[in-house]
Amino acid sequence: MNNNNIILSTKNLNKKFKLGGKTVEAVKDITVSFNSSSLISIVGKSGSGKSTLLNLLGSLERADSGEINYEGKNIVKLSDKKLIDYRRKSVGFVFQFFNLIPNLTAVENVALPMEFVKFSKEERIKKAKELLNKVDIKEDRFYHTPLKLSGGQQQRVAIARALANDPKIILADEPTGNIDSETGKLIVKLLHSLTNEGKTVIIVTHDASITSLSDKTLYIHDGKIVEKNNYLGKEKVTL
Amino acid sequence: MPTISRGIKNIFRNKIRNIAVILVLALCLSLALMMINMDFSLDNITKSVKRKIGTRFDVTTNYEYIEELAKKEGEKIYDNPALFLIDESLADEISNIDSVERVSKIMYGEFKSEKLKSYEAEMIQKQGGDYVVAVEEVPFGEEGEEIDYSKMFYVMGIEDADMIHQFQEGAITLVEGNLFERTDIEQNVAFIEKNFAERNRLKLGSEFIINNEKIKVCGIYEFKKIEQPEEFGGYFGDETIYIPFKTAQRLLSRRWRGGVVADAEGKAEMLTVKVDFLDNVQKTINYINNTLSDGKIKASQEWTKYSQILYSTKSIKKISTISMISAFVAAVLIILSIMFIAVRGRAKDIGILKAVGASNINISSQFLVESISLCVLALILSSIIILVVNRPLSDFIIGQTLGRQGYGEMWFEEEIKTEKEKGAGYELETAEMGPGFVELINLKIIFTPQILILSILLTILLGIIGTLIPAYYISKLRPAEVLRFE
Repeated sequence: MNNNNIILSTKNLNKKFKLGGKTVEAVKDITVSFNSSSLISIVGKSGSGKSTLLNLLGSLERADSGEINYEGKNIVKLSDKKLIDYRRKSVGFVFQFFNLIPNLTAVENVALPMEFVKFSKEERIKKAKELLNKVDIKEDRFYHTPLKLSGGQQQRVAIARALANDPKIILADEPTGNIDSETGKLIVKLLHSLTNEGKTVIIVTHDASITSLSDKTLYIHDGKIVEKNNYLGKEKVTL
Repeated sequence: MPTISRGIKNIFRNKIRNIAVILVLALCLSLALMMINMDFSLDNITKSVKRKIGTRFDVTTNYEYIEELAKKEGEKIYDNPALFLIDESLADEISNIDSVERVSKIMYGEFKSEKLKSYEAEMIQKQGGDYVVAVEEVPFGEEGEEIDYSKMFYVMGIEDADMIHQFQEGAITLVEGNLFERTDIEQNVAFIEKNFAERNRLKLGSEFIINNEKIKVCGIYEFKKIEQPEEFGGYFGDETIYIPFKTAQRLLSRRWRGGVVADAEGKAEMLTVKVDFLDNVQKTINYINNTLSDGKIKASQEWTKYSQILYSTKSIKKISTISMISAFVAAVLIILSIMFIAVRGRAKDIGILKAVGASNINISSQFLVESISLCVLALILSSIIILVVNRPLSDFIIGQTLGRQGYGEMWFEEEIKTEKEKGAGYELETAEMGPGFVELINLKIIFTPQILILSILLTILLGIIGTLIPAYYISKLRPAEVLRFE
């Protein structure tokens, strides 16, 4: 594995939650690295900690300890302001339930992240339309609100939004979990195609079609990575 | 800009709820703004009354002293006109007080004339037996003589016209000629009322007789006419003849009351004192009462009509202040509740915004726009409510307050339904109540630029307060928590 190719990595990453008076260790001492221009799947049972790991990577959660290094810089220690900047420019999110703003049109939803990085209105709209074209949304759907779009179309809009500020990393949390299998395949194909543009796509999934396309698959159990099917072949991790 | 448009768009996400909120907010805002405006207007009335009271006060006979005397010596003492006069020399003593700028002597009384035609005489001529003029014995005629008031004329002897209340309050305006100066103090000159002059064909330079002496007209004034219904004679006015103080003293020297004669030479009916500063008014009054008075005279600024109006405005102000605070607190609670509901209902949106890189300030701004927009819409609606409700509400509050203070219900509940219906009863009574009273009853809430600016600032403040809970909620919200589930 070429270390120079690593865009994101974690070292002894830990995250605990309090749940009903009990402390749950959602992520335990995870050390892992992600190469640029690759598709990585994170697989595990429900409650295994895979989404928490994704949220930590995207700075939607703060780690209790350990490191998350993005392009060599530990983002765990960054200030709130710098973390916001990291979310704005370096990562894009795709969620299982699309999470589009219901009263904004497809174009407005895609243009939303660009508002925070000083694009002019014209630039935002132009780029949003380009991205919608890229994810294969027809023009007659551009000004539809999410409720008027199908699940697959909504997820495409969500992917276009994730790409809005041209981030290097796309974090997708079960992106095919709420759409039919045929549409799911198209979404996976779309996400996979992004690696050809230099994006690193990290997907939390149960979907075997995604793992089969992945450059690397991480299996998580009880907050720990138990198996890596990595770039060089299958690797068992000692529990 | 997108933040603003998103904030405004959000208002339409729950139309029915937000319309209800705007309506309730508008009611609260309109009440608060009307009460603020009423407060301002009442302050202006208070200021105007205080300005009118100003640095002047009067020195007169002490009526409490006379009452005490009557208890000891019997009611007969009221027949002694000398008791109601004060020594002219007191004016010089008061002038020596450092704080006193001016002392002006006043002497008033009536004279009888068969030649001059009074307003009453004219009305008798017009209406015959239907017009009744009071006829009574005493106080100013020969003993036992009946006084026919249609032949009596009221005279006021003054030193300085500008020290007379009627001038200060704008009831009198000189329309022709000149006021006399202090140097004319012994001259036989007068300024007379316009209607009186026309009725008696008197012009500038004309002469008429008061107690056998010729008086020359040097000025003609107009009295602010108060219309009243025909059955009351058409208007209420004042036709006092103003002459120099010394002239009045000489012409009215024989003062009769119940058969007792008093000589007005060297006497005055009243002194009006002007001091340098408002702060010195009470000090000077106290000094005169404690040092210069032997109990027979009294310096006082406690004119009932002024104190009544000040008391009334104070009572109404209390009500308006309480209403204003309550309405504003209600508005704050409403906006806080609704924004709390809004922010809770949009947790997912907030999570999304955070995930795509919005800062807490970015997101709070959107709620700020939403909150302010709701308040601005409520302000616009409240302006319409104010236009409709303002007058009845202020009338109600003023009416209730004055009613409780014993001013009766006649103006508000029965007789005074329209300006026209106000008529003589209203105007006479309100005129009696003194300056400020008519303004108070006719209190109009007009949106001055200051009030308009204040309304806008208040609305913005309300909008900002409405964002406090969302801002706190936004800062605490963990996006990962809300974005995982449908």
